[in-house]
Amino acid sequence: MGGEMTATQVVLATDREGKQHAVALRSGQSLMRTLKYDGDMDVEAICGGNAICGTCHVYVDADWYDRLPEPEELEAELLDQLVFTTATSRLACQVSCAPGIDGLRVTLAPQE
Amino acid sequence: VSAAVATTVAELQARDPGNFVEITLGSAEMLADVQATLAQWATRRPFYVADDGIPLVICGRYADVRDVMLDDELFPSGLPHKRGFEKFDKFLGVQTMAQLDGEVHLRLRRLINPAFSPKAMLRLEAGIEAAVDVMLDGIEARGPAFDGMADYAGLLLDGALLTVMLRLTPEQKSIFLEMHRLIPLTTHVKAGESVPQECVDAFDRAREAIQAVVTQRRAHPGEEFISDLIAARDNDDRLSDTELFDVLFTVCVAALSGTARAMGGVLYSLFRHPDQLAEVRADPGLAPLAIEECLRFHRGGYFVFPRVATRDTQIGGTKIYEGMVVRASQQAANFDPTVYPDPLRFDIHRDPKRIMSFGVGPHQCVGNRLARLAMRVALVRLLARFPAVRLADPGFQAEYGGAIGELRIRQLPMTIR
Repeated sequence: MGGEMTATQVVLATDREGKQHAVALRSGQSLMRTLKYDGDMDVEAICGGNAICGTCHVYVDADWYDRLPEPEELEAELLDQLVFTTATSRLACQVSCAPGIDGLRVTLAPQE
Repeated sequence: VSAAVATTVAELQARDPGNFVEITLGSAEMLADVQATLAQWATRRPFYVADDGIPLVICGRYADVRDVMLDDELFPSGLPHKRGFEKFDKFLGVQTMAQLDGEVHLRLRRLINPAFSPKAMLRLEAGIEAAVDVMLDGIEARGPAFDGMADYAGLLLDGALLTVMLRLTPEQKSIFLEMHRLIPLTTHVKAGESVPQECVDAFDRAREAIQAVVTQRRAHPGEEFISDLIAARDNDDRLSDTELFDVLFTVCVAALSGTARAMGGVLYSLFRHPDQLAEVRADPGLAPLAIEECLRFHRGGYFVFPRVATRDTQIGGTKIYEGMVVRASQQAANFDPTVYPDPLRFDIHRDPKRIMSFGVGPHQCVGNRLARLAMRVALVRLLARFPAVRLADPGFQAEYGGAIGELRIRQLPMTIR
Protein backbone atom coordinates (compact mmCIF):
# COMPACT_ATOMS: atom_id res chain seq x y z
CA MET A 1 0.00 0.00 0.00
CA GLY A 2 2.22 2.78 -1.29
CA GLY A 3 -0.42 5.44 -0.71
CA GLU A 4 -0.56 4.80 3.01
CA MET A 5 1.02 8.14 3.85
CA THR A 6 -1.65 10.05 1.92
CA ALA A 7 -4.51 7.69 2.74
CA THR A 8 -6.10 10.12 5.17
CA GLN A 9 -6.75 13.80 4.63
CA VAL A 10 -8.15 16.18 7.19
CA VAL A 11 -11.24 18.13 6.23
CA LEU A 12 -12.44 21.15 8.20
CA ALA A 13 -16.22 21.24 8.01
CA THR A 14 -18.45 24.00 9.38
CA ASP A 15 -21.95 23.00 10.47
CA ARG A 16 -25.11 25.11 10.19
CA GLU A 17 -24.53 26.60 13.62
CA GLY A 18 -21.10 27.81 12.56
CA LYS A 19 -19.15 25.25 14.57
CA GLN A 20 -16.07 23.78 12.92
CA HIS A 21 -15.35 20.05 12.91
CA ALA A 22 -12.09 18.41 11.87
CA VAL A 23 -12.81 15.05 10.25
CA ALA A 24 -10.48 12.50 8.70
CA LEU A 25 -11.30 11.64 5.10
CA ARG A 26 -10.06 8.13 4.44
CA SER A 27 -8.93 6.74 1.12
CA GLY A 28 -11.83 5.40 -0.91
CA GLN A 29 -14.46 7.08 1.23
CA SER A 30 -16.73 9.89 0.11
CA LEU A 31 -16.84 13.23 1.90
CA MET A 32 -20.55 12.62 2.52
CA ARG A 33 -19.89 9.42 4.48
CA THR A 34 -17.08 11.06 6.40
CA LEU A 35 -19.19 14.04 7.47
CA LYS A 36 -22.31 12.00 8.20
CA TYR A 37 -20.92 8.90 9.88
CA ASP A 38 -17.43 9.78 11.17
CA GLY A 39 -18.17 13.43 11.94
CA ASP A 40 -21.76 12.78 13.04
CA MET A 41 -22.77 15.99 11.31
CA ASP A 42 -26.32 16.84 10.20
CA VAL A 43 -25.96 15.60 6.65
CA GLU A 44 -29.16 13.93 5.51
CA ALA A 45 -27.72 12.22 2.40
CA ILE A 46 -31.02 10.47 2.05
CA CYS A 47 -30.42 8.78 -1.30
CA GLY A 48 -27.31 7.05 0.04
CA GLY A 49 -24.76 8.59 -2.30
CA ASN A 50 -26.33 8.35 -5.76
CA ALA A 51 -26.32 12.09 -6.53
CA ILE A 52 -30.09 12.12 -6.90
CA CYS A 53 -31.37 13.92 -3.78
CA GLY A 54 -29.12 16.91 -3.15
CA THR A 55 -29.27 16.54 0.64
CA CYS A 56 -25.48 16.36 1.09
CA HIS A 57 -24.95 19.78 -0.47
CA VAL A 58 -21.87 21.62 0.81
CA TYR A 59 -20.10 24.87 -0.05
CA VAL A 60 -16.41 24.45 -0.68
CA ASP A 61 -14.22 27.36 0.40
CA ALA A 62 -13.37 29.41 -2.67
CA ASP A 63 -9.63 28.80 -2.22
CA TRP A 64 -10.22 25.09 -2.34
CA TYR A 65 -12.87 24.72 -5.03
CA ASP A 66 -10.53 24.60 -8.03
CA ARG A 67 -8.27 22.08 -6.36
CA LEU A 68 -11.02 19.46 -6.49
CA PRO A 69 -11.72 17.53 -9.68
CA GLU A 70 -14.58 19.16 -11.60
CA PRO A 71 -18.10 17.90 -10.90
CA GLU A 72 -19.33 15.36 -13.43
CA GLU A 73 -22.41 16.16 -15.50
CA LEU A 74 -24.82 14.25 -13.25
CA GLU A 75 -23.69 16.18 -10.21
CA ALA A 76 -23.80 19.50 -12.04
CA GLU A 77 -27.34 18.75 -13.24
CA LEU A 78 -28.52 18.02 -9.73
CA LEU A 79 -26.84 21.11 -8.27
CA ASP A 80 -28.65 23.15 -10.89
CA GLN A 81 -31.98 21.97 -9.43
CA LEU A 82 -31.29 23.27 -5.92
CA VAL A 83 -32.27 26.72 -4.72
CA PHE A 84 -29.19 27.45 -2.60
CA THR A 85 -26.52 26.45 -5.12
CA THR A 86 -23.56 28.82 -5.47
CA ALA A 87 -20.43 28.85 -7.65
CA THR A 88 -18.60 26.64 -5.15
CA SER A 89 -21.35 24.13 -4.41
CA ARG A 90 -20.65 20.40 -4.41
CA LEU A 91 -22.49 17.24 -3.48
CA ALA A 92 -20.39 15.69 -0.72
CA CYS A 93 -21.26 12.21 -1.98
CA GLN A 94 -19.33 12.95 -5.17
CA VAL A 95 -16.18 14.25 -3.47
CA SER A 96 -13.69 11.63 -2.41
CA CYS A 97 -10.30 11.50 -0.80
CA ALA A 98 -7.52 12.52 -3.18
CA PRO A 99 -3.93 13.63 -2.77
CA GLY A 100 -3.57 17.33 -2.16
CA ILE A 101 -6.84 18.04 -0.42
CA ASP A 102 -5.51 17.86 3.11
CA GLY A 103 -7.00 20.87 4.87
CA LEU A 104 -10.05 21.13 2.58
CA ARG A 105 -12.65 23.50 4.05
CA VAL A 106 -16.38 23.02 3.48
CA THR A 107 -19.60 24.37 5.01
CA LEU A 108 -22.92 22.54 5.12
CA ALA A 109 -25.47 24.23 2.85
CA PRO A 110 -28.97 24.97 4.20
CA GLN A 111 -31.45 22.14 4.02
CA GLU A 112 -34.05 22.53 1.29
CA VAL B 1 -33.27 -26.45 -5.94
CA SER B 2 -32.61 -22.88 -4.91
CA ALA B 3 -32.69 -21.69 -1.35
CA ALA B 4 -35.74 -19.66 -2.28
CA VAL B 5 -37.73 -22.83 -2.86
CA ALA B 6 -36.22 -24.72 0.03
CA THR B 7 -36.96 -22.03 2.63
CA THR B 8 -40.42 -22.93 3.79
CA VAL B 9 -42.35 -21.66 6.74
CA ALA B 10 -41.72 -24.95 8.55
CA GLU B 11 -37.97 -24.79 7.96
CA LEU B 12 -37.76 -21.25 9.27
CA GLN B 13 -39.73 -22.21 12.36
CA ALA B 14 -37.23 -24.98 12.98
CA ARG B 15 -34.16 -22.81 12.37
CA ASP B 16 -35.18 -19.79 14.44
CA PRO B 17 -37.87 -20.90 16.85
CA GLY B 18 -39.51 -18.04 18.66
CA ASN B 19 -38.85 -15.55 15.87
CA PHE B 20 -41.95 -16.45 13.89
CA VAL B 21 -44.88 -14.14 14.56
CA GLU B 22 -48.50 -15.12 14.03
CA ILE B 23 -50.09 -12.13 12.35
CA THR B 24 -52.30 -11.63 9.32
CA LEU B 25 -50.99 -8.56 7.54
CA GLY B 26 -53.72 -6.05 6.81
CA SER B 27 -56.27 -7.86 8.95
CA ALA B 28 -58.84 -5.97 11.00
CA GLU B 29 -57.20 -7.41 14.09
CA MET B 30 -53.81 -5.94 13.18
CA LEU B 31 -55.27 -2.58 12.15
CA ALA B 32 -57.33 -2.26 15.34
CA ASP B 33 -54.27 -1.08 17.26
CA VAL B 34 -51.76 -0.70 14.48
CA GLN B 35 -49.58 1.88 16.22
CA ALA B 36 -48.96 -0.40 19.19
CA THR B 37 -48.15 -3.28 16.85
CA LEU B 38 -45.70 -1.21 14.84
CA ALA B 39 -44.10 0.23 17.97
CA GLN B 40 -43.41 -3.37 19.00
CA TRP B 41 -41.85 -4.14 15.62
CA ALA B 42 -39.56 -1.15 16.21
CA THR B 43 -37.99 -2.75 19.26
CA ARG B 44 -37.32 -6.30 18.08
CA ARG B 45 -34.92 -7.83 15.61
CA PRO B 46 -36.31 -8.71 12.17
CA PHE B 47 -38.82 -11.54 12.40
CA TYR B 48 -40.65 -13.94 10.13
CA VAL B 49 -44.31 -14.12 9.26
CA ALA B 50 -46.26 -16.40 6.95
CA ASP B 51 -48.13 -14.30 4.40
CA ASP B 52 -50.63 -16.51 2.58
CA GLY B 53 -48.11 -19.34 2.91
CA ILE B 54 -45.07 -17.30 1.82
CA PRO B 55 -42.44 -16.65 4.48
CA LEU B 56 -41.56 -12.97 4.79
CA VAL B 57 -39.00 -11.13 6.88
CA ILE B 58 -40.28 -7.97 8.51
CA CYS B 59 -37.85 -5.27 9.68
CA GLY B 60 -39.06 -2.61 12.10
CA ARG B 61 -36.04 -1.11 13.85
CA TYR B 62 -34.75 2.10 12.29
CA ALA B 63 -31.26 0.79 11.51
CA ASP B 64 -32.58 -2.46 10.04
CA VAL B 65 -35.08 -0.63 7.82
CA ARG B 66 -32.38 1.75 6.67
CA ASP B 67 -29.95 -1.07 5.90
CA VAL B 68 -32.52 -2.84 3.71
CA MET B 69 -33.61 0.28 1.87
CA LEU B 70 -30.12 1.57 1.19
CA ASP B 71 -28.91 -1.64 -0.43
CA ASP B 72 -30.74 -2.20 -3.69
CA GLU B 73 -28.15 -4.70 -4.88
CA LEU B 74 -28.65 -7.08 -1.99
CA PHE B 75 -32.34 -6.26 -1.69
CA PRO B 76 -33.66 -5.18 -5.12
CA SER B 77 -37.27 -4.15 -5.66
CA GLY B 78 -37.84 -6.25 -8.77
CA LEU B 79 -39.69 -9.31 -7.52
CA PRO B 80 -40.06 -12.57 -9.46
CA HIS B 81 -43.43 -13.25 -11.08
CA LYS B 82 -44.42 -16.55 -9.58
CA ARG B 83 -47.25 -18.23 -7.77
CA GLY B 84 -47.98 -16.54 -4.48
CA PHE B 85 -46.36 -13.30 -5.62
CA GLU B 86 -49.46 -12.08 -7.53
CA LYS B 87 -50.33 -9.62 -4.76
CA PHE B 88 -46.99 -7.87 -5.09
CA ASP B 89 -47.77 -6.96 -8.71
CA LYS B 90 -49.70 -3.94 -7.52
CA PHE B 91 -49.70 -2.19 -10.89
CA LEU B 92 -50.54 -5.08 -13.18
CA GLY B 93 -47.14 -5.52 -14.74
CA VAL B 94 -46.24 -1.86 -15.08
CA GLN B 95 -42.70 -1.35 -13.85
CA THR B 96 -43.14 1.70 -11.70
CA MET B 97 -40.04 3.59 -10.68
CA ALA B 98 -40.27 1.98 -7.27
CA GLN B 99 -39.84 -1.49 -8.75
CA LEU B 100 -36.75 -0.80 -10.88
CA ASP B 101 -33.22 -1.11 -9.62
CA GLY B 102 -29.67 -0.02 -10.32
CA GLU B 103 -28.68 2.09 -13.29
CA VAL B 104 -32.02 1.71 -15.10
CA HIS B 105 -33.76 3.22 -12.11
CA LEU B 106 -31.19 5.97 -11.61
CA ARG B 107 -31.41 7.03 -15.27
CA LEU B 108 -35.19 7.44 -15.05
CA ARG B 109 -34.95 9.05 -11.65
CA ARG B 110 -32.56 11.66 -13.02
CA LEU B 111 -34.98 12.40 -15.83
CA ILE B 112 -37.86 13.17 -13.52
CA ASN B 113 -35.82 14.75 -10.72
CA PRO B 114 -35.89 18.31 -12.12
CA ALA B 115 -39.69 18.40 -12.08
CA PHE B 116 -39.70 17.67 -8.34
CA SER B 117 -36.64 19.71 -7.37
CA PRO B 118 -36.50 22.56 -4.84
CA LYS B 119 -36.36 25.04 -7.72
CA ALA B 120 -39.42 23.52 -9.37
CA MET B 121 -41.36 23.81 -6.12
CA LEU B 122 -40.88 27.58 -6.09
CA ARG B 123 -42.70 27.74 -9.42
CA LEU B 124 -45.57 25.49 -8.30
CA GLU B 125 -46.52 27.07 -4.98
CA ALA B 126 -48.90 29.73 -6.29
CA GLY B 127 -50.70 27.21 -8.49
CA ILE B 128 -51.10 24.82 -5.58
CA GLU B 129 -52.52 27.61 -3.41
CA ALA B 130 -55.11 28.32 -6.09
CA ALA B 131 -56.00 24.63 -6.42
CA VAL B 132 -56.37 24.30 -2.65
CA ASP B 133 -58.62 27.36 -2.53
CA VAL B 134 -60.93 25.71 -5.05
CA MET B 135 -61.08 22.65 -2.76
CA LEU B 136 -61.92 24.91 0.18
CA ASP B 137 -64.65 26.63 -1.86
CA GLY B 138 -66.22 23.22 -2.35
CA ILE B 139 -66.15 22.49 1.36
CA GLU B 140 -67.69 25.87 2.17
CA ALA B 141 -70.43 25.41 -0.42
CA ARG B 142 -71.42 21.98 0.85
CA GLY B 143 -70.52 22.45 4.55
CA PRO B 144 -70.45 22.69 7.43
CA ALA B 145 -69.81 18.92 7.54
CA PHE B 146 -67.18 17.41 5.28
CA ASP B 147 -65.09 14.26 4.99
CA GLY B 148 -61.43 15.15 5.53
CA MET B 149 -60.46 12.22 3.33
CA ALA B 150 -62.82 12.32 0.34
CA ASP B 151 -63.35 16.10 0.31
CA TYR B 152 -59.84 17.26 1.11
CA ALA B 153 -56.91 14.83 1.51
CA GLY B 154 -58.05 12.75 -1.45
CA LEU B 155 -58.23 15.78 -3.71
CA LEU B 156 -54.87 17.29 -2.81
CA LEU B 157 -52.65 15.62 -5.34
CA ASP B 158 -55.36 15.76 -7.93
CA GLY B 159 -55.04 19.52 -7.55
CA ALA B 160 -51.32 19.88 -6.97
CA LEU B 161 -49.98 17.29 -9.36
CA LEU B 162 -52.51 16.39 -12.03
CA THR B 163 -53.92 19.89 -12.47
CA VAL B 164 -51.09 22.25 -11.60
CA MET B 165 -48.02 20.27 -12.59
CA LEU B 166 -49.26 17.96 -15.36
CA ARG B 167 -52.08 20.17 -16.66
CA LEU B 168 -54.46 17.31 -17.31
CA THR B 169 -58.10 17.81 -18.26
CA PRO B 170 -60.92 16.81 -15.87
CA GLU B 171 -61.72 13.78 -18.06
CA GLN B 172 -58.12 12.58 -18.02
CA LYS B 173 -57.89 13.10 -14.30
CA SER B 174 -61.05 11.13 -13.60
CA ILE B 175 -59.56 8.09 -15.34
CA PHE B 176 -56.45 8.18 -13.16
CA LEU B 177 -58.44 8.78 -10.00
CA GLU B 178 -60.58 5.73 -10.78
CA MET B 179 -57.49 3.61 -11.33
CA HIS B 180 -56.05 4.86 -8.07
CA ARG B 181 -59.29 3.91 -6.29
CA LEU B 182 -59.12 0.33 -7.57
CA ILE B 183 -55.43 -0.43 -7.10
CA PRO B 184 -55.83 -1.67 -3.50
CA LEU B 185 -57.81 -4.64 -4.84
CA THR B 186 -54.72 -5.97 -6.59
CA THR B 187 -52.87 -6.44 -3.29
CA HIS B 188 -55.52 -8.83 -1.98
CA VAL B 189 -55.10 -11.37 -4.80
CA LYS B 190 -54.41 -14.87 -3.44
CA ALA B 191 -51.89 -17.35 -4.82
CA GLY B 192 -52.93 -18.53 -8.28
CA GLU B 193 -55.84 -16.06 -8.55
CA SER B 194 -56.28 -13.43 -11.26
CA VAL B 195 -56.63 -9.71 -10.73
CA PRO B 196 -60.29 -8.55 -10.59
CA GLN B 197 -61.66 -7.60 -14.02
CA GLU B 198 -62.61 -4.08 -12.89
CA CYS B 199 -58.94 -3.41 -12.15
CA VAL B 200 -57.92 -4.68 -15.57
CA ASP B 201 -60.55 -2.48 -17.23
CA ALA B 202 -59.53 0.60 -15.25
CA PHE B 203 -55.91 -0.11 -16.08
CA ASP B 204 -56.75 -0.31 -19.80
CA ARG B 205 -58.50 3.05 -19.60
CA ALA B 206 -55.50 4.57 -17.81
CA ARG B 207 -53.20 3.17 -20.48
CA GLU B 208 -55.34 4.70 -23.25
CA ALA B 209 -55.49 8.00 -21.41
CA ILE B 210 -51.73 8.16 -21.02
CA GLN B 211 -51.24 7.37 -24.69
CA ALA B 212 -53.73 10.08 -25.64
CA VAL B 213 -51.91 12.60 -23.44
CA VAL B 214 -48.58 11.66 -25.01
CA THR B 215 -49.99 12.03 -28.54
CA GLN B 216 -51.52 15.39 -27.71
CA ARG B 217 -48.42 16.79 -25.98
CA ARG B 218 -46.19 15.48 -28.71
CA ALA B 219 -48.20 17.52 -31.20
CA HIS B 220 -48.48 20.55 -28.93
CA PRO B 221 -45.59 20.55 -26.48
CA GLY B 222 -45.67 22.97 -23.59
CA GLU B 223 -43.30 23.94 -20.84
CA GLU B 224 -44.26 21.19 -18.47
CA PHE B 225 -43.21 17.80 -17.18
CA ILE B 226 -44.89 15.51 -19.71
CA SER B 227 -43.60 17.46 -22.71
CA ASP B 228 -40.11 17.41 -21.21
CA LEU B 229 -40.25 13.63 -20.88
CA ILE B 230 -41.48 13.24 -24.44
CA ALA B 231 -38.58 15.40 -25.60
CA ALA B 232 -36.20 13.19 -23.65
CA ARG B 233 -37.73 10.22 -25.46
CA ASP B 234 -37.90 11.66 -28.96
CA ASN B 235 -34.91 14.00 -29.12
CA ASP B 236 -32.30 12.45 -26.89
CA ASP B 237 -33.37 8.80 -26.85
CA ARG B 238 -32.92 8.81 -23.10
CA LEU B 239 -35.87 6.51 -22.42
CA SER B 240 -37.92 3.94 -24.34
CA ASP B 241 -41.63 4.11 -25.19
CA THR B 242 -42.37 1.61 -22.46
CA GLU B 243 -40.34 3.58 -19.95
CA LEU B 244 -42.10 6.78 -20.95
CA PHE B 245 -45.42 5.09 -20.27
CA ASP B 246 -44.25 3.54 -17.03
CA VAL B 247 -42.90 6.82 -15.67
CA LEU B 248 -46.12 8.64 -16.51
CA PHE B 249 -48.13 5.84 -14.95
CA THR B 250 -46.00 6.06 -11.82
CA VAL B 251 -46.60 9.77 -11.52
CA CYS B 252 -50.27 9.87 -12.60
CA VAL B 253 -51.53 6.91 -10.61
CA ALA B 254 -49.10 5.64 -8.04
CA ALA B 255 -48.33 9.01 -6.49
CA LEU B 256 -51.95 9.98 -5.93
CA SER B 257 -52.70 7.36 -3.38
CA GLY B 258 -49.67 8.02 -1.23
CA THR B 259 -50.36 11.72 -0.85
CA ALA B 260 -54.04 11.23 -0.08
CA ARG B 261 -53.19 8.75 2.66
CA ALA B 262 -50.40 10.89 4.06
CA MET B 263 -52.56 14.03 4.17
CA GLY B 264 -55.29 12.03 5.89
CA GLY B 265 -52.71 11.09 8.50
CA VAL B 266 -51.73 14.75 8.93
CA LEU B 267 -55.32 15.87 9.54
CA TYR B 268 -56.10 12.93 11.81
CA SER B 269 -52.96 13.30 13.93
CA LEU B 270 -53.02 17.07 14.36
CA PHE B 271 -56.76 17.52 14.83
CA ARG B 272 -56.82 14.89 17.56
CA HIS B 273 -54.46 17.15 19.52
CA PRO B 274 -56.48 20.37 19.79
CA ASP B 275 -53.93 22.20 21.94
CA GLN B 276 -51.19 21.67 19.39
CA LEU B 277 -53.59 22.43 16.55
CA ALA B 278 -54.34 25.77 18.25
CA GLU B 279 -50.63 26.57 18.28
CA VAL B 280 -50.38 26.02 14.53
CA ARG B 281 -53.52 28.03 13.96
CA ALA B 282 -52.02 30.92 15.93
CA ASP B 283 -48.63 30.63 14.25
CA PRO B 284 -48.77 29.16 10.73
CA GLY B 285 -44.97 29.25 10.73
CA LEU B 286 -45.17 26.11 12.85
CA ALA B 287 -46.88 24.21 10.02
CA PRO B 288 -43.72 22.61 8.53
CA LEU B 289 -42.67 21.37 11.98
CA ALA B 290 -46.16 20.07 12.69
CA ILE B 291 -46.38 18.30 9.34
CA GLU B 292 -43.02 16.62 9.88
CA GLU B 293 -44.22 15.24 13.21
CA CYS B 294 -47.54 14.18 11.65
CA LEU B 295 -45.64 12.35 8.92
CA ARG B 296 -43.50 10.61 11.50
CA PHE B 297 -46.49 9.72 13.63
CA HIS B 298 -48.86 8.54 10.92
CA ARG B 299 -47.48 7.97 7.47
CA GLY B 300 -49.71 6.64 4.72
CA GLY B 301 -48.84 3.03 5.33
CA TYR B 302 -46.70 0.61 7.26
CA PHE B 303 -44.95 -0.82 4.18
CA VAL B 304 -43.85 0.42 0.80
CA PHE B 305 -42.71 -1.88 -1.96
CA PRO B 306 -41.32 -5.27 -0.95
CA ARG B 307 -37.70 -6.24 -1.56
CA VAL B 308 -36.23 -9.65 -2.28
CA ALA B 309 -32.93 -11.01 -0.97
CA THR B 310 -30.49 -11.93 -3.75
CA ARG B 311 -28.34 -14.08 -1.47
CA ASP B 312 -28.24 -15.50 2.03
CA THR B 313 -27.49 -12.71 4.47
CA GLN B 314 -28.54 -11.28 7.81
CA ILE B 315 -30.04 -8.05 9.05
CA GLY B 316 -29.95 -7.07 12.69
CA GLY B 317 -29.12 -10.61 13.78
CA THR B 318 -31.81 -12.40 11.77
CA LYS B 319 -30.91 -14.71 8.91
CA ILE B 320 -32.43 -13.86 5.56
CA TYR B 321 -32.31 -16.50 2.86
CA GLU B 322 -31.90 -16.00 -0.86
CA GLY B 323 -35.21 -15.39 -2.56
CA MET B 324 -37.05 -14.35 0.59
CA VAL B 325 -39.32 -11.34 0.47
CA VAL B 326 -38.21 -8.61 2.87
CA ARG B 327 -40.66 -6.00 4.10
CA ALA B 328 -39.12 -3.01 5.83
CA SER B 329 -41.63 -0.97 7.80
CA GLN B 330 -40.95 2.74 7.54
CA GLN B 331 -43.74 3.48 9.98
CA ALA B 332 -42.28 1.10 12.55
CA ALA B 333 -38.86 2.78 12.08
CA ASN B 334 -40.53 6.11 12.91
CA PHE B 335 -41.48 4.55 16.26
CA ASP B 336 -37.97 3.35 17.11
CA PRO B 337 -37.42 4.68 20.65
CA THR B 338 -33.64 4.78 20.19
CA VAL B 339 -34.15 7.43 17.49
CA TYR B 340 -37.40 9.08 18.61
CA PRO B 341 -37.74 8.85 22.42
CA ASP B 342 -41.25 8.11 23.69
CA PRO B 343 -42.25 7.51 20.07
CA LEU B 344 -46.01 7.29 20.50
CA ARG B 345 -46.15 10.77 22.03
CA PHE B 346 -47.26 13.30 19.42
CA ASP B 347 -45.36 16.55 19.77
CA ILE B 348 -45.16 19.18 17.05
CA HIS B 349 -42.10 20.63 18.77
CA ARG B 350 -40.18 17.37 18.54
CA ASP B 351 -38.53 18.46 15.28
CA PRO B 352 -37.86 14.86 14.26
CA LYS B 353 -34.82 14.43 12.06
CA ARG B 354 -34.56 11.96 9.21
CA ILE B 355 -38.05 10.55 9.47
CA MET B 356 -38.40 7.40 7.44
CA SER B 357 -41.77 8.41 5.97
CA PHE B 358 -40.49 8.95 2.43
CA GLY B 359 -37.96 6.15 2.62
CA VAL B 360 -34.19 6.34 2.21
CA GLY B 361 -31.82 5.21 -0.50
CA PRO B 362 -32.26 5.36 -4.25
CA HIS B 363 -36.03 4.90 -3.93
CA GLN B 364 -36.59 7.76 -1.54
CA CYS B 365 -39.85 9.35 -2.70
CA VAL B 366 -39.03 11.70 -5.58
CA GLY B 367 -42.16 13.69 -4.78
CA ASN B 368 -41.40 14.29 -1.12
CA ARG B 369 -40.91 18.02 -1.58
CA LEU B 370 -44.11 18.36 -3.62
CA ALA B 371 -46.00 16.36 -0.98
CA ARG B 372 -44.62 18.45 1.88
CA LEU B 373 -45.36 21.68 0.02
CA ALA B 374 -48.89 20.62 -0.90
CA MET B 375 -49.62 19.48 2.66
CA ARG B 376 -48.30 22.69 4.17
CA VAL B 377 -50.36 24.82 1.82
CA ALA B 378 -53.42 22.64 2.45
CA LEU B 379 -53.06 22.79 6.23
CA VAL B 380 -52.30 26.49 6.52
CA ARG B 381 -55.09 27.56 4.17
CA LEU B 382 -57.63 25.23 5.77
CA LEU B 383 -56.94 26.75 9.20
CA ALA B 384 -56.94 30.31 7.85
CA ARG B 385 -60.15 29.92 5.91
CA PHE B 386 -62.16 28.11 8.60
CA PRO B 387 -61.09 29.30 12.08
CA ALA B 388 -63.38 26.75 13.78
CA VAL B 389 -62.53 23.73 11.64
CA ARG B 390 -62.33 20.57 13.77
CA LEU B 391 -63.11 16.89 13.93
CA ALA B 392 -66.86 16.30 14.19
CA ASP B 393 -66.17 13.96 17.12
CA PRO B 394 -63.11 14.92 19.21
CA GLY B 395 -62.55 11.31 20.20
CA PHE B 396 -62.82 9.96 16.65
CA GLN B 397 -60.92 6.72 16.02
CA ALA B 398 -59.96 6.01 12.42
CA GLU B 399 -60.79 2.81 10.60
CA TYR B 400 -58.42 1.77 7.88
CA GLY B 401 -58.99 0.37 4.41
CA GLY B 402 -56.89 0.31 1.28
CA ALA B 403 -54.20 -2.06 0.15
CA ILE B 404 -52.21 -4.33 2.41
CA GLY B 405 -49.42 -2.18 3.77
CA GLU B 406 -51.43 1.03 3.51
CA LEU B 407 -53.01 3.10 6.27
CA ARG B 408 -55.83 4.67 4.30
CA ILE B 409 -58.30 6.28 6.68
CA ARG B 410 -61.75 5.38 5.39
CA GLN B 411 -63.54 8.51 6.55
CA LEU B 412 -62.58 11.53 8.59
CA PRO B 413 -65.75 13.38 9.61
CA MET B 414 -64.94 17.07 10.12
CA THR B 415 -66.86 20.31 10.36
CA ILE B 416 -66.03 23.91 9.61
CA ARG B 417 -68.33 25.33 12.29
